[in-house]
Amino acid sequence: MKFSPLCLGLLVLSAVACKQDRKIKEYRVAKDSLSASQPSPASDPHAGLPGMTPQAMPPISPGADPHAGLTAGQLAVGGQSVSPPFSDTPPAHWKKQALSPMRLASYQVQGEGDATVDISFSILRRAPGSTLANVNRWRNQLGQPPIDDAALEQTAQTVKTSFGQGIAVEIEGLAPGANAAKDGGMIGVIADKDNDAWFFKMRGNAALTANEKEHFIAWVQTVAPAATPNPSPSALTTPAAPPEPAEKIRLTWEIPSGWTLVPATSAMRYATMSVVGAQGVKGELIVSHFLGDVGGDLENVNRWRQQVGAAPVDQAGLAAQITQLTAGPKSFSLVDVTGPQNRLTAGWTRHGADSWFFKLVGPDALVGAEKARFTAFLESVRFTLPE
Amino acid sequence: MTALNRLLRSMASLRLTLFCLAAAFVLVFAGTLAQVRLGLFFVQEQYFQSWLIWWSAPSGGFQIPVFPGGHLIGAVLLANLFASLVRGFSWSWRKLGIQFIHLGLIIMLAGGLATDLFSVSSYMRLKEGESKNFSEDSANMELAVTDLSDAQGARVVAVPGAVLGDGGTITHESLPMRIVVRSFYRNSELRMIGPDSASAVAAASNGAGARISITSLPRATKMDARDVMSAVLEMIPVNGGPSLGTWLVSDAMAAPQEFDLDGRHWSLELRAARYYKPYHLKLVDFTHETYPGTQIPKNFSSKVLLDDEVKSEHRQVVIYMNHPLRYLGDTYYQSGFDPDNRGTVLQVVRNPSYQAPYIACGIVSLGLILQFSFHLTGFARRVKPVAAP
Repeated sequence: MKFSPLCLGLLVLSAVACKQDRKIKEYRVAKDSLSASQPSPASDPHAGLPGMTPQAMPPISPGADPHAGLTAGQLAVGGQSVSPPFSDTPPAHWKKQALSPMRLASYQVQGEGDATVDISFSILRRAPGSTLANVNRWRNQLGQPPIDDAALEQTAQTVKTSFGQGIAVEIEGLAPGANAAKDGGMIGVIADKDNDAWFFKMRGNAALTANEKEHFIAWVQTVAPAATPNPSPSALTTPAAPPEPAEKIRLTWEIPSGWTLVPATSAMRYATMSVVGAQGVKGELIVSHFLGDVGGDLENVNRWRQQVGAAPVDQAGLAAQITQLTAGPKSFSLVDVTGPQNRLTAGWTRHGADSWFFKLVGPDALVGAEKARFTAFLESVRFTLPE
Repeated sequence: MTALNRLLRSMASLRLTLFCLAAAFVLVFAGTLAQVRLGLFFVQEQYFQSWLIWWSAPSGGFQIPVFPGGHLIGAVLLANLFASLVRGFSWSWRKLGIQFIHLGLIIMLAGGLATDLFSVSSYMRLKEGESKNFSEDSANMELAVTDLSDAQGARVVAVPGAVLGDGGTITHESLPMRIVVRSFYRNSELRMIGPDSASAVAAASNGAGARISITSLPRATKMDARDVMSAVLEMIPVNGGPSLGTWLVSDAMAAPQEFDLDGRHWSLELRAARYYKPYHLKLVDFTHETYPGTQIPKNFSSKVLLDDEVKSEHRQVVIYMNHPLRYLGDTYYQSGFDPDNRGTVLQVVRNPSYQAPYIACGIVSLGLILQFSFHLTGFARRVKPVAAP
């Protein structure tokens, strides 16, 4: 076929057009124009387009990786050493998942029905101001508005880790279109280590996330750089359930008749007791402890209320919920919540920097029948170590 | 007969027209089938936005052209129409309609080709309250090397991803370093090196890549996936001195890595290509309406504030379906939205020939009207009036 001058011209035109795609450009911009529009692939135009969900865009989707689309500096780990290995002790019921990009550890917990939570751990480079940016990124994932530094300071909790302190944030909310069985709750912990930030994240069904909070915090505290000695049990504040060697026993108590100490099913629990009532109805007493106040009374009480299906209360209504019990040198706060399915009565106290929680959970009739024994049990509790 | 006449006759051949149309049918058919295997974007690039379709030997050793691509078919058809118009042109009213139709088709084809070659499509994502003066094109990546040292602003040297794909050494008069492309990945997967991946090799010696391994992947072909471009770059100061080591840049990283060189502070990032504008758009409000009692979308609209200091243009515009904003050569279409309904995605199209279809349709319509009118009047003259009984 012969080429006309027009064809030749079009070829040249095309070559010129192609050439332009390879031209190195230089320009000046204001510094406020530099920031990425959205978390990276988030800047991907397809996000939000009907039929093109961000989750399908590897590896940028929040669903695929919680740290995808990190804000400036997050992935720029400056360290020269490759891969600081770490050790962790996940609860027995956590199912290990295949590692997706950027994750150093990945677990899943299956709840009732389709309810799941996803747990991940990543190490990224620390960047100034990145904590707030990441918290707001997490909030955005659950459809929540961003907060400022002051609000973060008020809501964040302090969590002790194997190498120092980190902050924990709890977020609840459901982005439009999200699946409530797999989303709606999130707990994130950010802890700085040297030039890096260690990210621990649990996201999933709101109720299951709340239920797994204690396990999650305990797991965070077990994660330690393998190069450094594992923290002492006291530093981890996650003792195994009794019986323990004498020097590790922190509590003594008198177990009521009909209650049976059972092996711990979670590293998170200090102790678990089986409570069997009339006609074989079963309940459970759980003893656990954490550094700090774990969010405060209002948050704890509402979490327990949520666990039994009761509506949350506000600060004003909280006072009416709590009674006090003096047991030897200690004073316990008590709450009793009855929901559609279960009833929960709990007592808690502070000892040193830790909060100790004692929860009796079971059917309404059982907990009601066992409440007197529960009170007697609390009165028998004695701390063996000084505050 | 002169050479020009012979060329015109062959180019104006009706057989050539039919051949081009048949080839276009085959191309569309084959391209549609190939989308199943290769995906829409790859097929667009390889079948329709190419001069020739190449077959690659399974060994990858060589390629041979097997069929004309969309550009070639369109260009030949354009030349065919043009030659036909020139050859058959005469100052005759009776042929004016045909000539208009040919001219309209030529404008239509030329406009399509120009759109393919010169139009730029990108996206601007805005959160409510957010203002921005650039759009991004995630289909085209760029390596942004930014001098952050000046308080007044940043100087950006943007290297197209295609240049990285060429390999070799990249230099620029504003960069104090040579950038040597050590490896390039059109599509890749990054993975943090952890205890479960003891055998993994760090992608780079410095920056984030020191803790990340990289795996090459085949080109993404699914509609809901796209390539994750990555490259490992070595930066060597042009004024001597030790190498700054190798650095991993990747579309998946979404965060610039920073370093110092010659007393200045730099950042390095592989990102979606950006197109800066001389004005800002601010999203005032995004509205997502559904039909009452359902989740069926009824309307999406973005109320934006156009802020152009240079032209003193400050006005609010509502962008919604079929009502784009056109400003300084850019057209903003309502394209998508954030899942939380607090952000919008606007498609930004800069198409210098966007008026071509309108002009072409107008001319073709005029030609058809003329042609039909001539036939109608001729027919009316030939028909003898029937006498009343």
